[in-house]
Amino acid sequence: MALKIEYVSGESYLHKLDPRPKLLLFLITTVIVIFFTDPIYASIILLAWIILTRASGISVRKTAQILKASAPLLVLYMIINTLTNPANLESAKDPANVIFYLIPMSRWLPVTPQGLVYATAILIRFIIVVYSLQLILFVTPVVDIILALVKWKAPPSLALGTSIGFNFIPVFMNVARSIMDAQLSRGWKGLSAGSLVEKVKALPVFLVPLFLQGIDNAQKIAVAIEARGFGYNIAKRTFRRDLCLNSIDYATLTMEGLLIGGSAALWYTGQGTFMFTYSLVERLISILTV
Amino acid sequence: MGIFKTKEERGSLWKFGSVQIGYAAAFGGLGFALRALGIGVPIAAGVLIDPRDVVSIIGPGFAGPIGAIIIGTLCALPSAVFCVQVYVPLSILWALIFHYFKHPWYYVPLVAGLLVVWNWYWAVWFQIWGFLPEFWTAFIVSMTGTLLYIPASIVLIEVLRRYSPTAKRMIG
Repeated sequence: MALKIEYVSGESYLHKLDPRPKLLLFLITTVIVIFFTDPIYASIILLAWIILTRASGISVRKTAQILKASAPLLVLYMIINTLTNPANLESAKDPANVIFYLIPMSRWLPVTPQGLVYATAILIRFIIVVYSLQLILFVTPVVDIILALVKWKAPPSLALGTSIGFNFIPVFMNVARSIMDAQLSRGWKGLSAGSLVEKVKALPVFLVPLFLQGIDNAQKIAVAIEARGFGYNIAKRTFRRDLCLNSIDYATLTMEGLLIGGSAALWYTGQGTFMFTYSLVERLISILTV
Repeated sequence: MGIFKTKEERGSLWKFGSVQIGYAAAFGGLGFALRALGIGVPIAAGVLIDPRDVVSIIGPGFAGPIGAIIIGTLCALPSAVFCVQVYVPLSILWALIFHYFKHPWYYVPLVAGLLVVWNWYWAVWFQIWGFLPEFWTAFIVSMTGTLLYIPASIVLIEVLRRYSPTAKRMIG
């Protein structure tokens, strides 16, 4: 399950936005969903990201592809979470709360409504983080993300190293494929064959040539950037394209400020915990039983 | 034979020149590529050991602590859930170990760090994201990977030191 670092060009609101408010929006929603454990609140945030995707002209299916690919992992994630989350463990102490046992014969691994609600919130939280990061990467070129880091006072040499690293990814993908093919043609069984000990032994067979290739490339990079005057005065370098905030960016930053303020107020008043949805579920169950 | 490198041997800790940029970019790109290609060692159903973790352990030895930030970020970025907060501090830790300790003494803090700090970081991260909400379960699950990274890293470092004079000069 890997994110796609791919820019999808467009003329939407998100595309036109400066990378800094975009990155802030991702960071703010990530922090909010960590603090809020209510599935309804989390679903509202997810819905907002889906609306943003549609407004950007990017297919929701394409953005959610990474989630589709990891569906078995998400199911496993939900099961483990339901059984081991603190809300489930706490409420399962009272047998009246238990709705069923995963192993009924031995009354082992109880599942409670509180645990299910909490686990749902955690699952939505996971989906939000993956989905929002993928959308941000679809609407922001990597170069812009690096420029944003420089604007946030990251050392220019750090930004330069990161951008060169990004540019070398396709090179190393080809090198890794070639080394794998070469070793397989020499009778190497690959990383997934044999016992665990054999797998450990197989790892250096693949990694040693890859590291040697990495060392070789590193020296070439060093010579190349020196030849282009890297050591002259990197702190005072100028940019071919500079980032500057405009009215849409300021409006977005204001909206983000309101989002932080609103969330902090909700958090301060004790809202946003799974108990809100749980109380609704409880009421629904009592209506149905009546 | 001392445990620590002398001042002349280790040089400046914060030096981040063209050589360090080269190593940071190369190993960062390598870690990213391995993750993006989905190359891994399956140890159980659904559990995959990432070779990029080995890159994030050894790479900082070449690139130094500032380069470790780039390596950690690039290794973490292709993961579905942002794990920069785990990779970056750990990569800086490995960089410091390689900077201050001589060969073969750096294996002692490296193994100790992998067994304790690495698993502790991942266990906390697993808890935050709800993968495994129970700390010790998460710690032990993380340790299954560590037990593979330790021999793989040691073998790799020894082979690199033997066949690459540059590697021997850079990591000691």
